[in-house]
Amino acid sequence: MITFRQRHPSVPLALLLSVLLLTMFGQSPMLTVPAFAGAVLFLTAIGIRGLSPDSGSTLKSVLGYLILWILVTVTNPLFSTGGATPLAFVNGRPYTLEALLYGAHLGTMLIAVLLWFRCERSLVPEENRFFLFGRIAPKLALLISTVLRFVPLLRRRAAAMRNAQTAVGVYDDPDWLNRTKSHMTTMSALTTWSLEHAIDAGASMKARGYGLPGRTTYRTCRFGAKDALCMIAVVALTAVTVLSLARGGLHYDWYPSITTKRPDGIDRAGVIAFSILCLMPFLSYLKEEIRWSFYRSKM
Amino acid sequence: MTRRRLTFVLFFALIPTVAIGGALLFRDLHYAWISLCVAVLTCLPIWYDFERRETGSSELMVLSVLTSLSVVGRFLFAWLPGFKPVTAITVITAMWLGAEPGFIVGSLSALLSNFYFGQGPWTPFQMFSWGLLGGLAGLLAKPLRRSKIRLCAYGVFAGVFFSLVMDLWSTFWMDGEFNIFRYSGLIKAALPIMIEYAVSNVFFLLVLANPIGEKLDRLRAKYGLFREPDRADDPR
Repeated sequence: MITFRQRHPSVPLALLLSVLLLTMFGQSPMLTVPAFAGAVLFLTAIGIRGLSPDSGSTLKSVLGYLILWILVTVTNPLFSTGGATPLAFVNGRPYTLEALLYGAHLGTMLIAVLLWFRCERSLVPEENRFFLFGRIAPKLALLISTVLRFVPLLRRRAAAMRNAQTAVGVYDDPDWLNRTKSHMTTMSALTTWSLEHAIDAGASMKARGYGLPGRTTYRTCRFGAKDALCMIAVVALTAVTVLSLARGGLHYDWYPSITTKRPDGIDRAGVIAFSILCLMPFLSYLKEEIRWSFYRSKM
Repeated sequence: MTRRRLTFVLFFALIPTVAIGGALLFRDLHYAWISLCVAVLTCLPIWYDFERRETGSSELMVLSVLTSLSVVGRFLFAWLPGFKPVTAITVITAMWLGAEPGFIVGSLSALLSNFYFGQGPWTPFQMFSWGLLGGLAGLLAKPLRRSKIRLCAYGVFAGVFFSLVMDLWSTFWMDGEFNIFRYSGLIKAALPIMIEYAVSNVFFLLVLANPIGEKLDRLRAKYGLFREPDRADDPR
């Protein structure tokens, strides 16, 4: 069944792309609200279990998102003056209710998108990303994976050089010009060191047969029947949502006053389909969690 | 090989379809959708060309180190927020190694530094902007190397360009049209950052161009890297 950790990595990727694009461009609160809810539920669930790859305090980020939401909501009427219900006048321009509500919608969309980008790290872990892109673009995938390895290495080297320079007494100079200069010295030395290292690494890769045909990946995944089933589910749910979007059923006119079409069956189906899509990561996680607890209690 | 080529043909047939279909589907936001497609479409042919041509493993590793340096530079100068050498390293790479390596280092720096600093809908536009700035610097390599003033001017241009592209995308996405009030509001709000970008670009270009350039020249001379037969316009 749907457990994304065990699925072929293309399934969560397709789900992620579908949710992100429909949330970003669907321009309907009927889509942004479920997207927001799905992301919050999933992130909370993995956060409780301590599985979230993010460090950083939860309270701080929640506060950050809240401030962003308020900021977008409150400032939107300053930028767009459409809308029939003025609440006040700022610099002679109307500050309207409709623009305020559109701002609230915009803020929800922004935050939903940002949260789904946070889910991305859990849904498509790094090794899966390389598995997917390593075939289509092996060189770029190699560049990405080596950079991810070089960044911590280079940071360690920079720290080592900084320590050495501090010991000599040039790094903690109170004069900011001298301090910047010593940063530059570090940067320059780091460049030389790392470029030499790169040549060595390149030679060693060549010696080990990099670039020969028949390369395999660390992660091997097979696209099985369950993966196909999941993929069909994702595609079908997306298709239903797209259908109702294309018919204009989820369309909102914000200005001059908020109007929307009376939803018919297909529109409702679209919203339900998209909600299921957004809840899929959470539900699959929940199912795993229940199964885990259930088996444990039987032992 | 045939399979890979097929994948790419599919890719290139698919993308215009997606662009046009999306614009029809996402009527309200078709500017934003098309600008996203443009950002992605700019990267794809250059990446494709990079994938297709022969690149030695040492050359790949040099590109990887340069990308890592621009990512690490963001950490190294974290004590001055917004002050980052990404553009400078991209431009220097392009000036010494050519337009395509410049594009690759620029676009990958955006993608990879966002692994640490946060991915978002801005990622494709950062990749597009930094990649394009690198590619352009590669085409202008000769004049940029001859004069410090031109190099500084390019640094300022890069900072302004980067900031304007980001604000334009935000405007399209948030309003679905070119709302001049939001655009000017965003530019005003981002003005200090734009200035900081420009200043840091000029600073890093002036300080790093020659030291890193010399090292890259040395690598090319010593190991014969990045010597392509079709690049007779070797700036030296």
